[in-house]
Amino acid sequence: MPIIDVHAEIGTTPLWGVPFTDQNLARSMQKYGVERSIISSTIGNSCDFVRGNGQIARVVQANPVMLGCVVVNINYPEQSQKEMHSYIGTDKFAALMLTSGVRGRFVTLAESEDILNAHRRFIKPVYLHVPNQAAAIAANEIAKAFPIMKFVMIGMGGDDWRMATVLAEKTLNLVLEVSGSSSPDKICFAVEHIGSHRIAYGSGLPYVDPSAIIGLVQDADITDLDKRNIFEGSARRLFGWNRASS
Amino acid sequence: MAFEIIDANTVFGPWPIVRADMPVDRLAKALTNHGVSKALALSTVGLLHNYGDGNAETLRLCAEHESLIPVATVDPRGYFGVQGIAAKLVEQGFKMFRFFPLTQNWPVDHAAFVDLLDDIASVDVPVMVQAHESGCPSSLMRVLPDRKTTFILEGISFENMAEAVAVMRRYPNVLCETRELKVPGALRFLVDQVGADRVIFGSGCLRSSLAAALGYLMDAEISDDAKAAVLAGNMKRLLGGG
Repeated sequence: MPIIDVHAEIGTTPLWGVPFTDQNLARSMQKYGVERSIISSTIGNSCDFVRGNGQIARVVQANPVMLGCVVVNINYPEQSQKEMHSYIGTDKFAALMLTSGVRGRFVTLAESEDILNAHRRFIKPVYLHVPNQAAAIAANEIAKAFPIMKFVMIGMGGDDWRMATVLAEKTLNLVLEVSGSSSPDKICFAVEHIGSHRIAYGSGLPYVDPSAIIGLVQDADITDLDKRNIFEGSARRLFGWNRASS
Repeated sequence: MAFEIIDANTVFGPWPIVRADMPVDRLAKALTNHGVSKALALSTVGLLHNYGDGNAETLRLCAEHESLIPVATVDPRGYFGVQGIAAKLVEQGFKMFRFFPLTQNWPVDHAAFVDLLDDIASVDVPVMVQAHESGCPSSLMRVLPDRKTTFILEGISFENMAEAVAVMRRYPNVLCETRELKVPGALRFLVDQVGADRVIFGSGCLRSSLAAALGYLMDAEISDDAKAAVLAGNMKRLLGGG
């Protein structure tokens, strides 16, 4: 079953400083049959989005199986818009990631409105870190304010995946990315409530081993078609890739 | 009277938490503009991302600016007891260690931090520890017994000064830094309590105003000798140059 990974990071990890390079990711992709990955930079997500986007631009230029996710920081709206204009219009970048500058702290509508207004013309999906219930509610508010954009809830609410799923059931431009909680029930619950076409596989590398998330989906009591959607089909739909053009 | 000034607390680099413009060139310029001859400096990458990348950046950028003295950091949450890490960093040119338990959210009796302090005991460099919240100086007491390393409490304010003074009375190897001193008379009071030789000037620049920190110190009602000690003399002594 082919896989598209909508969320992986490369670079040295925070804290330990362990390098996870594009070569490491390429090997992992080969091992698990991942044909394409959307990547951002570890340092871009932790402290320096400008530096991180620059690193990713170089990597995706050299690796056709990897596409970039532009990371922006709501505390730097002007610089964030510059980054968006530099990268997201190119075919090497597939998504935009909104961050708060602090891991675990989610972004709110009031903080992200200007950046999202500037992003309107680019159409590409917007990623939001959603590690808990409060983040899910904030993501839902953002998605409702910008109904023409698609928003990917990275981590699908963590342990509050039920809440994230229920919100996504009502807000149709929300897509769930499955890294986060390892609950054996969450995939089945989400498929039942919103359908597999709005659930996408993300590895969460280098913080999560892909085998864990792949196992979670494989083990879920859902049809093979649903699994194919989660592993590949939803991402194709999300990014507007059809089979012929991929 | 013109004073020599050494700033023990400066940072440069990315600051994603709130909006801030913190390139190293701006720090160097601020030091020049305010007559600061030397500053102990650290890249925020070491604080916010990982210490390996951060220390490398600190070393590289400090080498490009004569006024900057490199400060190393190690996040205990990512430290696996590598023996000799302190000696290696000092050999590379680092003159002080800084730790950020509040920003990085770890307790000061973290076992890996204790291991790090054991390792640092083998080198003669001071250690600055973030301590701007009430309870921080007291917590530090749990790791102080039998240590000879000089500890500098960073960010002591009027609110936890009594606590800091209590710790300093028990441990002569503990000093404190001035970044958060803002209340009128607080510096004079502190000097009266522990002596001018145990207070170190630090501004927190580029995160905090160097002008404000210097203005406060210059206007403090302490003797010129005390000001000279706080502004540079004490730090020079710790760095082995005075």
